[in-house]
Amino acid sequence: MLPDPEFFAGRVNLVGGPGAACGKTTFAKAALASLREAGRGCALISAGLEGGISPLRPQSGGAGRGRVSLRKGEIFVTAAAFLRSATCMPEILEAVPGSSALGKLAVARACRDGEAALVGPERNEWLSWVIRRIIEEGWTDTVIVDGSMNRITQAASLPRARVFWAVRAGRGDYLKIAAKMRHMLRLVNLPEMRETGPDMARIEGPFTGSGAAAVPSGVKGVIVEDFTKIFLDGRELAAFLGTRTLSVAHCVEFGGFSVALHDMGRPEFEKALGEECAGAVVSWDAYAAQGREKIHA
Amino acid sequence: MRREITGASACSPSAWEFCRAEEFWALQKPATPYASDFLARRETFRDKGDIIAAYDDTDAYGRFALTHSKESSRLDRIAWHLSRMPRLPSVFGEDSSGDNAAREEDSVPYDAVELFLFKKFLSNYRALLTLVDDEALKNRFGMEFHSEGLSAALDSGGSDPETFQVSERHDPGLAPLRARLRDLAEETAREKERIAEKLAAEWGLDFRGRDFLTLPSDEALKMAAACGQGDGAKVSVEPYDEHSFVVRPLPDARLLEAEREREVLREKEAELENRVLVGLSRFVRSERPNFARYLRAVLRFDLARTRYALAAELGLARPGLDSGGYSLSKGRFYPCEKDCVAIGAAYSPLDFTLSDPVAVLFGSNMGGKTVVLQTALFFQTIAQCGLFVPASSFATRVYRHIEYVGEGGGEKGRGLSGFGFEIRSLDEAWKLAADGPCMTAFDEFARSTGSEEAEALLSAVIEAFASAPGARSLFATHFMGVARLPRARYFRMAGLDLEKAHRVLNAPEESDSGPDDRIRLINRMMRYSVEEERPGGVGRKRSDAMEIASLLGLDGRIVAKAAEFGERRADAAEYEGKKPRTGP
Repeated sequence: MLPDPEFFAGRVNLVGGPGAACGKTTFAKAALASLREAGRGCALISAGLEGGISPLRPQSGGAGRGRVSLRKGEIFVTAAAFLRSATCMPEILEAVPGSSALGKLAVARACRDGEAALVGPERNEWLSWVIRRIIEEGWTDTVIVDGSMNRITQAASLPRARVFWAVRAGRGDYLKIAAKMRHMLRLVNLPEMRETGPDMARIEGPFTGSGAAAVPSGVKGVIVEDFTKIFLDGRELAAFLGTRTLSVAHCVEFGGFSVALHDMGRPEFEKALGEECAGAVVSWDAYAAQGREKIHA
Repeated sequence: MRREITGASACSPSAWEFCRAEEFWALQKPATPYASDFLARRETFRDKGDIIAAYDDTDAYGRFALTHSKESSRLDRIAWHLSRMPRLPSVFGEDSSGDNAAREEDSVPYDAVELFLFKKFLSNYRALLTLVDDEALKNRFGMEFHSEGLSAALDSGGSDPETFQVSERHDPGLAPLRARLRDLAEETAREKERIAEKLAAEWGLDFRGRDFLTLPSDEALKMAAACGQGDGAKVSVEPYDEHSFVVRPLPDARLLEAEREREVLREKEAELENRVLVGLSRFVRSERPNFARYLRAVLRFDLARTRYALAAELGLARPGLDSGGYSLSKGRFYPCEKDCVAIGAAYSPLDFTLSDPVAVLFGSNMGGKTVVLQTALFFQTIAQCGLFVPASSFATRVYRHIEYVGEGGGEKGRGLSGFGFEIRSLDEAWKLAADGPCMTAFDEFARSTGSEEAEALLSAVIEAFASAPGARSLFATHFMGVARLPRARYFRMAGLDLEKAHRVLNAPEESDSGPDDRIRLINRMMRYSVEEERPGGVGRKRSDAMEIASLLGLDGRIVAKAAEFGERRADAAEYEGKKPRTGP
């Protein structure tokens, strides 16, 4: 079912997931379809290269895979090298500082329905810069970013930004995926704490299992930058939280999960997730043929 | 006469670091990438004309800003347009002078993004020229505009002055092509809608916004069986998983024909667009000399605006560069002043005048003689950067080299012993002094060797630098026995107000205060003024080290013994005729 457009409108929507082919792009496209149907304009950004485009074969951005359909008025980010093959009559709005593996990038507006290759900034600060420019200039107030989690957390600190987490689960891996989702939910719900107090330690950079073991016994709580810096598995996290507190200096607003199921039914997966985690799913099978799903944020 | 900004940097990296120039430098907030790039080079000018030009530019912009001070929106808009000027493609080579030859890729047309940058630059440049309504000022900065034709050509594409696309106005041939493409797009959308409605009516499926749907197996198989029969909508059906299939609407003949025609037209459109890009690229390249002028004007104007903004914010004064000496009045060494504010200590501005080539500065520990050296170098460096300075007045001359010899001057990693490094630094400074007027700060030179040899070596160095043409050298040292030489002046820091220090630190309420508190109190009682040594005399023979050690709480027996050793040594030196020389 397509998710409710109101869930995305007027926001910076960052779609991540646990690796390749996890349904990020599918969910991003579903969000886009939902917004289009509601008559809302938006900007589409890929954090890096849209699937199918290779820096070694930039011509692959000219046709076929890696291109997305755009409606007139939609904003997107692409490489200058792909402008010629874009069929949506792009109007250049801004040049992105620096360059990518595919050359310089630009923010463009589609002046008619058509297609273009999405190529996003490679550096996190440029991704944030692009989003900020789009919002500040009033080109649109809704942005959808399709990218891996470590690429989008900087952008997650932007106003009205929130992160979605897309997964694809099948009979062979659904228990593992459910565990990952519960772990993720635990991480995004860690409390925010900016100031270190007595008996608290601030950890810069990744917080790993060995890092957790090395925390001095007198330290009662640890603060890490944000949840993406935590590299503890479920068991390690539970063990750590059993004796100490774990907080994040910057909370990332979490929008919810998108789930695409394969070879199995929703009740079985919901049971594996547990009530709390299942309640955080905002989209089940965005391309299933059962109309619209209302989301209660 | 207009001057262009030229010249290599006079200030060495070690001198820059020593005098903490970076902390002041970083206060500059340029608006354009061109001024940012220029400031990133941290250039200290060697040419007096360059410095005067920078000062005059600052003053000229300042007069303009004051004239419009009641109309702040004009100044804000100027800053806004400057900030929106993009970095242009590197058609002018590494620098922005634009004088170098055409780039190798001249045959390659600019892409739409590059042309967008030219358009955005020209748009903001024109707006800037409109806002700067003072013809004399425009003339001073070379703010001209001769690219009406190119501007008009670039303005023909894009919905506003800061966007760009190839439009029908660039090539009338695009108009019918795009009109037909629009019609085809509408026809295609209508046809897709018709197919979607048909599927919705026949099968209850809602394909709006989606290219495919997943359906339960039984429904999907039913659709597959019915597909192609009668005039029903056609779909493709393929397995998704054990329970469902993926169903996609298939285009009919009308849609396929429309798609084929779109492809053909789109190819023709791309060809025409490319022709426009080639033509516009040629136009831009023909304007290369104009762009070079515009970039120079923008750079110079933004630098003047940036420097004036800093001068206005901090109340800076224009230095004089015609002095034979060095005269600083109420000089505020910004980094130190900032430190003082941070710790709640009072900052004493520095008055320091030197007409001779060499100044030797003695002083107690913590007495601030290094800060005086830093201050002297800071003002010289900042002034030669073309900036006004935080002082009530500052008069100096321009030096070809500004150098530093002392601890921390890049010695790490060179694999030299302390003394080896000192001699090597001295040798480098001496060679530079021979190259042209050189201002050098020596902080505790010869600190790494014994006091007698150090005093001898230091005396020889002072004499050498005192006779180097155009050199000005400042020495901070503990060694009070250095020779008193002609063309050198000898100063000491006023140091600790001993009477006050004893009164405060020996008061009952301070009896429990620890070393850190005492250091803070002593710092507050230091007098950071510079006093010249009495003519013909050696002044006080010792610094305040013993007193300070005592005030800091060092065991009184050790302090007393140290004083006793000191007295004995002085007596022996006097007896052996080794007492400090008092003149040539």
